[in-house]
Amino acid sequence: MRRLQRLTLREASRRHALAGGRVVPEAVRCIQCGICSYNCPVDIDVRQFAWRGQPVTDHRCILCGECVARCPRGTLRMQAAVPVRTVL
Amino acid sequence: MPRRFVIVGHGPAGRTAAETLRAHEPDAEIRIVSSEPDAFYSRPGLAYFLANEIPEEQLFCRPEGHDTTLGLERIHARVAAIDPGAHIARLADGRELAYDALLLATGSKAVLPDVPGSDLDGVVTLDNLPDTRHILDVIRRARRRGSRADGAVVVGGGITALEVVEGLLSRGVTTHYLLRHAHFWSNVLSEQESDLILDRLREMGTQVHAESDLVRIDGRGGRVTSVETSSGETIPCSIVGVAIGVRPQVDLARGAGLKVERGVLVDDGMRTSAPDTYAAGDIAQVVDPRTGKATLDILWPTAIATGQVAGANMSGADLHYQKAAPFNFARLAELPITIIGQVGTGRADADMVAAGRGASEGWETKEALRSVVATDPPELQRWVVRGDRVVGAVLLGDQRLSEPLRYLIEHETDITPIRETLLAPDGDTAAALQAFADQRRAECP
Repeated sequence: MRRLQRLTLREASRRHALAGGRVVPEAVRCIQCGICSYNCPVDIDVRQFAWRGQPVTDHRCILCGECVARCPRGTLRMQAAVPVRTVL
Repeated sequence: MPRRFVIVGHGPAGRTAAETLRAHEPDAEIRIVSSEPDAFYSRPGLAYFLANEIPEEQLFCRPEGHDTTLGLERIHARVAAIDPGAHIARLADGRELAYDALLLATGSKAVLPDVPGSDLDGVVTLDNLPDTRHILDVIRRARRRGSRADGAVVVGGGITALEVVEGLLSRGVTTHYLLRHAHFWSNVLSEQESDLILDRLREMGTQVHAESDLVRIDGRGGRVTSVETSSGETIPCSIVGVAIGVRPQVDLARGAGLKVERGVLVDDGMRTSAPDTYAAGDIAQVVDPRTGKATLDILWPTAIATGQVAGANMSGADLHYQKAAPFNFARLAELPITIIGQVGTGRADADMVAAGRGASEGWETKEALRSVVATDPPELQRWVVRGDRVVGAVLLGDQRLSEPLRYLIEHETDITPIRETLLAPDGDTAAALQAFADQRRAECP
């Protein structure tokens, strides 16, 4: 029973991260090189979000973190969702 | 009759001004005149195109058809002269463009070394997209010839020199980097910071030649074949990469009788000394309220900010550009770096004859400041404290403190509550700094 609870919690945590976590830019650092968009596996034009200083809200975003890791100017970061325990 | 605007130059300042103008002036005629034929592209992104991290088409940062959507007319031409009295821009092909307001955003241009052979084919700079295509073309041609001198020598300093070095290495070119003295970017970086970067460059395969100056470039058939250095060494190569600084392109402004020093003098509304004539970006020399001096910033964020103010004011607004603490970020030898405010070492950079691209005169200081370093190799954080203020910072590697430090520097926050922690950093300093900045930001966003 406890194992089942743990599994449920882990799945809930992942879903919550996917639902609430997002990639956010610090627009002033963005030099519009487009490396983020070029490396996005689901073809989101991340650069346009960064340019406007908006979080990447495209529903296709799978939070793989590729754009965050590739940005040469440290523009992007992963903003974590509220910890799962606080919302359950 | 709709109002007419002419923007000379299509870099970040010109582009931002054009888009800002359109937001203010839905019906105006907006013309961007540029000697480059391409659509708006990311100039800093050229380094990543050169390094083969992105294809050329990725550099173009507006969706296709964006100019048409915004009703921006691009004219591929060189502006020969402007007549601010008559409100006319004369193009080299003879055309004349009448305007109600004009923006000069002509950017800056790389300086070439004053040595024999600097006009040979193979001497390259990294100013713009045509330059980058040219570098790639020189590499291709050298390989096609099966040239034994399939290598490159890079001279200069600052961000651009390393962008050229790293780009060439990525393309498989044997690359030598000449430094006049022992350290890199010595007016901005400490010796420790320089050593860290040079060590990494060597690990990446660069042959760093310290205490080595370029004396002569030799060639055959008009093409580079080798260079000679001050230590008597001859290095065979087909490319000489030059990044010894850039100069603002102020000829048009000077020809029009505008007030010009090293750049075009402007007030905080980006107005030049002539009516209805504005300047923004690299060429705009604006008074820095922190130092009282009119300084130049060859920085992307400054180009955007000054372009916004110029664009709005050309349409009749009265915005005032607040020169912020100079701020830039880059990747040097695969390490992210952020530089904010006054971080200067008080030394000169012997590798540069003018300010480099991505640099600010505001970084330099001749005053003795208290500088503190917190290191966790290969990461390095340095902040500069004067009295009860942090006035500058260099972050190499870990960038988490970039936002809090930029906030404290830009807002000239009194750091008394954490001053002792900052002056004697330990393992808890980063967390204390972050918490302090968050608290101040919450009180005074």
